[in-house]
Amino acid sequence: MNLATITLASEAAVSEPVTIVLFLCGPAVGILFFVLMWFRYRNANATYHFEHETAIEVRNLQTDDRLADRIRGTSRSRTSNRNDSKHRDRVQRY
Amino acid sequence: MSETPSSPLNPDSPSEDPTVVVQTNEGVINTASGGADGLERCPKCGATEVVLHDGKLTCQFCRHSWLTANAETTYGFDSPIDQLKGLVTGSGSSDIDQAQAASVTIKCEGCGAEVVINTANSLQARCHWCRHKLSLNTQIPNGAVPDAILPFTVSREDAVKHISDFAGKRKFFALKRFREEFLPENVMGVYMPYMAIDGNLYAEVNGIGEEETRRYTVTVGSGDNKRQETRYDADVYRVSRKFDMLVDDLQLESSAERSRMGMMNTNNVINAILPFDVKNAHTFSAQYMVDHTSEKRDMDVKALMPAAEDRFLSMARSEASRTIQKYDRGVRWESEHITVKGSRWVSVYVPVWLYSYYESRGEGKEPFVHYIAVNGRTGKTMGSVPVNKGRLALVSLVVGTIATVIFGAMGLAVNSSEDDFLNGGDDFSGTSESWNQDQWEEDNFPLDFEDGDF
Repeated sequence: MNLATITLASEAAVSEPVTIVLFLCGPAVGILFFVLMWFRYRNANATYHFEHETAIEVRNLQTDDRLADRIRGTSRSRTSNRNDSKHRDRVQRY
Repeated sequence: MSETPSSPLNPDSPSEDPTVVVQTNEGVINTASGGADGLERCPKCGATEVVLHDGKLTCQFCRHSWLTANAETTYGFDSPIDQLKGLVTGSGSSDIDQAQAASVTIKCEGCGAEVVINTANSLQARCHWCRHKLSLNTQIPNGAVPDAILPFTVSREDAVKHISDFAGKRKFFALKRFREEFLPENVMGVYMPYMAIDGNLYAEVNGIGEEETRRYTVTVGSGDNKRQETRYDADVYRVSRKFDMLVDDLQLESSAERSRMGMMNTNNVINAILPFDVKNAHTFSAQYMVDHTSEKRDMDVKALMPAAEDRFLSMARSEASRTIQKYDRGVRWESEHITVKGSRWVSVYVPVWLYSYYESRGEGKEPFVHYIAVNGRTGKTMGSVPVNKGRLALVSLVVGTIATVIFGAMGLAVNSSEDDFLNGGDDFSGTSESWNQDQWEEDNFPLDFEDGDF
């Protein structure tokens, strides 16, 4: 197998989606390493988790859950724009 | 804290009155400790040389140690939260009179000299003539004297160790100058101004929740694009949660400078060492501040109310999210509401060991201040270490290159094996230039035989 054959084989391989993804994983690992280390040193996202670290008592809970629709055959695995864990993102206030 | 058994849901229907917060009854609890300005003496021997030792005021002459009373029980801050109505504040949380100067002059009782105390960073000063320590305990309306104070219990030595350990784990990518100039012994004990807030609240959150009812696989596409995909069926619900919520001791920065957080500063690391055990705060005495500096409160309750409401809303969302386990596909909250039926605001000085490092950013640019902060009660430590971006970028490049080689080799291997599988391998295809069927047979079946040999 000569060099031209090997080169052609490599080019053909790189054009495959799986191979492209694997090739892109390398730079992604480098960028991820940079970001993780930067946050480890700078702790720019460190915060007081007041939602969990403050004494809170809930009373007289009223729940109302009404069936509004049925979805069939969606490819979405989650509720669109779910925010049940993003407590600090404000939504419409009334 | 004792509470009454229950309270009714908000009697004021939010739909009738969309106003977010209704607080009309204002109440002020007098938290003036009664301590005089000037000399403060040991209650046992009358000496004025008092230090803070193991979280207690200790006389340096007779070694008597004591604490002032617990602020919560003394001032009734422990009354049931569900009975709070309107706005209740300690007198040390009163509005700041901007005309009130930060510097206060008091007369030394030892020699009669007039001594200036700069309340922006201290409530004690030493008389420059007779060397007596003078304290300021009167609640003047400049935000300097709070309702309560939480003394340091973590020693300077322990704080130095916490800071050394924290920075020690972050050496490799730290700025060279930081590594050279790092001196944890320069840590400062600072009393930071915070508000401890109790809230008697009513909350509502509404949204859309989805519950998965079926999951299955379908084949889509055709030819080379034929593939398997997952599909979902789900029931969609309108979700609503309404509840009363009692919040005990939410802590909020009451210094405008400290409350500004973002990428332009490292104030968030001081925020991250919260919470403090403010229930153990004591009635104020400037003696607790000996050898420590302080930062004056410069925000009124009214200025802090929006930030408090924002946190109350976040808490309401967090609590509501505990009740939606049924919705395995998640919930999208779309609207929210909070009514503050009553709130109690207590200004507290909390103890923070603070190490500061000024990162120079070249001429004409403001230096960037990195803090490493230690909670003066629990030892919880958080900080920001300046990063040598060049070194980090170089190492990241090396890591990325190695990963590219590894993943690239994997990619080629995967592709090669796929080709082998699809083509049945080089041997089967018989199209390779290097392949020779006769040679292969000769190599693998070297025996020469004639028909009829068997």
